[in-house]
Amino acid sequence: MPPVINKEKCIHCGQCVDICPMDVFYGSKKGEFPIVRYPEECWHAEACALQCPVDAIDFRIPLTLIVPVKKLPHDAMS
Amino acid sequence: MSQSQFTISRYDTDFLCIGGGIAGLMAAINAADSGLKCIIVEKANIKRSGSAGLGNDHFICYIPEVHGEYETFIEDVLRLQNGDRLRQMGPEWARKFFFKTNEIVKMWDAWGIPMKHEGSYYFAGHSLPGRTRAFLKYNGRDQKSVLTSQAKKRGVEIHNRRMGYELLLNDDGSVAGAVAVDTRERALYVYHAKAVLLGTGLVNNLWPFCSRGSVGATPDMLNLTADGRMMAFRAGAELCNLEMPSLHSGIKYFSRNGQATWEGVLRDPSGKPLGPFLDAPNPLYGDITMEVRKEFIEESNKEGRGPIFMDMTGLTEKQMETMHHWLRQEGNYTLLRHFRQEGVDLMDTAVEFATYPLLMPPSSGIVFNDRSETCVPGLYAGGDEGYGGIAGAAVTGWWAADAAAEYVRNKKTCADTDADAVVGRVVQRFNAMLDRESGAHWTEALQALQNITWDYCGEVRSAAGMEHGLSHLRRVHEHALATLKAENPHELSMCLGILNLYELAELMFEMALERRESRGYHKRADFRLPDLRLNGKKHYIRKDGNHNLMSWR
Ligand SMILES: Cc1cc2nc3c(=O)[nH]c(=O)nc-3n(C[C@H](O)[C@H](O)[C@H](O)COP(=O)(O)OP(=O)(O)OC[C@H]3O[C@@H](n4cnc5c(N)ncnc54)[C@H](O)[C@@H]3O)c2cc1C
Ligand code: SF4
Repeated sequence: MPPVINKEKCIHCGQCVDICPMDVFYGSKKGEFPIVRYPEECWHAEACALQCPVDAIDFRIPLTLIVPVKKLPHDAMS
Repeated sequence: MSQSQFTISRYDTDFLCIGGGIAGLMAAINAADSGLKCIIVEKANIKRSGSAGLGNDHFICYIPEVHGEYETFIEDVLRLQNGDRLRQMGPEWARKFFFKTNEIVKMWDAWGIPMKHEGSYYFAGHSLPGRTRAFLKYNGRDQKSVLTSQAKKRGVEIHNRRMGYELLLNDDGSVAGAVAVDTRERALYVYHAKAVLLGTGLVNNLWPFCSRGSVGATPDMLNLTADGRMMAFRAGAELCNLEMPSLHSGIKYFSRNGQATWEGVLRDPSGKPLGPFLDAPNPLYGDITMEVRKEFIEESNKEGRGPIFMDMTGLTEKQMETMHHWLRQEGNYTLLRHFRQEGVDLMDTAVEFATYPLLMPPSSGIVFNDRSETCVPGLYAGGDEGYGGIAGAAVTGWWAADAAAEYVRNKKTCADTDADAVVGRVVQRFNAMLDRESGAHWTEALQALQNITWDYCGEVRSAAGMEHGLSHLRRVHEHALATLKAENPHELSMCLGILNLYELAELMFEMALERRESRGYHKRADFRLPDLRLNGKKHYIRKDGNHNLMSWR
């Protein structure tokens, strides 16, 4: 579920629903708590979170997108 | 079910821009300045839609007061990532293009897109150490809001959540407008227009992508589905070089374009730099190893020298902060959130990079000239429909409006168009998909397509494989047409986009069969050498009655 909306904070303004380029909140309405109807279509770029006036949107990163990272042996570099 | 389920509304305008990307917005702004009545039809919400929706940070341009002589500038630029593309367009095109970029940078800055960094023009990345830097770093995060308000200020109407689907033609073959379908309601729109610009962006998803399992996690947005290319083709315009794929690279799994914003060094697991250019990070130039040879990372993995990492170790705190700033200008918010959530500190931790699988580049697209005119009178195209990049979209969109203004002034209104026939046909198709009790989901159709493109027209190509693959693709396409099921208008727009990809894929197969040579990433197992007679030529395809005509020029 990419965007995760905090029920306590959300003021049902509908701005995330209006802005999302992929329309993952399809069917949600201003005045109601938004439903993430198509989470797998999310592009993960946070158009919604940038728009949200009360910072109510967090993200759960899908397991498939977790980036492989590594601390490289620094002494090999000069 | 009957046509009446769709509400139908009609509009009249001088200039219709299909796709509210950078090309569409710049075209509309310029056309409105020339006095044309303009409407932009946009599939999503124009403020955040398309490849530029969440921002960009590199704008290729020539600023005389920074670069000095144009001749010295262009000589270096031709050596870099964009060199081949510019050579294809020719020296006159390149000169006209770069002088226009200078004007646009200044225009954007005046409108409120900050084109300067700490008070001056700052060029960095995509460059050879010690040579000309042609990419201006700019703050593109909110560029589309700025351009949208400039368009609105000039009276341009913006119609969001409408997908342009089919062009309308006059009896004489000139363009007469387009039909669009709502992505949220069962509604259809008929736009009568004297001139039309196609600016629907890149083609995404023609081949399978590496982060399997998350359909939306592709380097560009999922809803960029070659709608413009296929509308153009069906209306009689030429497409070119569809069989010439390209490669890109970037962060692994969290796939995203914008690799040059990473200011570290590519290294193997022992810390040894992969390329010859840098042994410590250099934000001014960036490590262009990947741009010189896009498949380098994948090759290293296959040869057991990987995995390969982008390593920022050595950047100062201030440089790291600046790199984060640019990552945010380019829409990498969720990626940065991911690093925060995981406690990944880029000061001492490297991130793995990957060569992304085949993709269709902007140069495989609609054919248009230096006035952005296609061969269909009144039809223009710009941006990723045929050139590429932010500056490319801004300039070609602008040029389209210059030409369209002249065309519209001289255009007599035509008596009638094929509008009713087109409306009847599309409504029938849309209703069938919406009203079917059950059927294939668009993701199923997409995966079936990608299996076929990858297996028969992917990295390995041969006549026998492609002939067989094409006939199989046509069979699956028939099934898709007969079984695709859309629960609602959102799913309908996805189904229609995927069907456009099927049509485009068939043209790609035809063109790949016809190109009996190996060149670039078009690798024929049965024709291993390049056919030197084709050097400097492009491969074209257009519809001629019920046939597709191919040619070389
Ligand atoms: C993450 C990322 C970073 C990038 N960084 C850079 C960079 O730093 N520098 C650079 O030069 N380039 C960069 N690019 C490429 C650049 O963004 C594109 O080349 C540019 O946006 C192309 O502009 P365009 O107007 O052709 O298409 P887009 O900006 O993609 O706009 C296409 C528009 O058409 C709409 N649309 C699609 N289909 C339809 C339809 N059927 N009906 C109606 N509307 C439709 C889309 O919703 C979209 O709004 C980057 C791309 C990405 C994805
Ligand atoms: S923008 Fe924020 S506050 Fe408004 S509906 Fe969406 S989550 Fe709720």
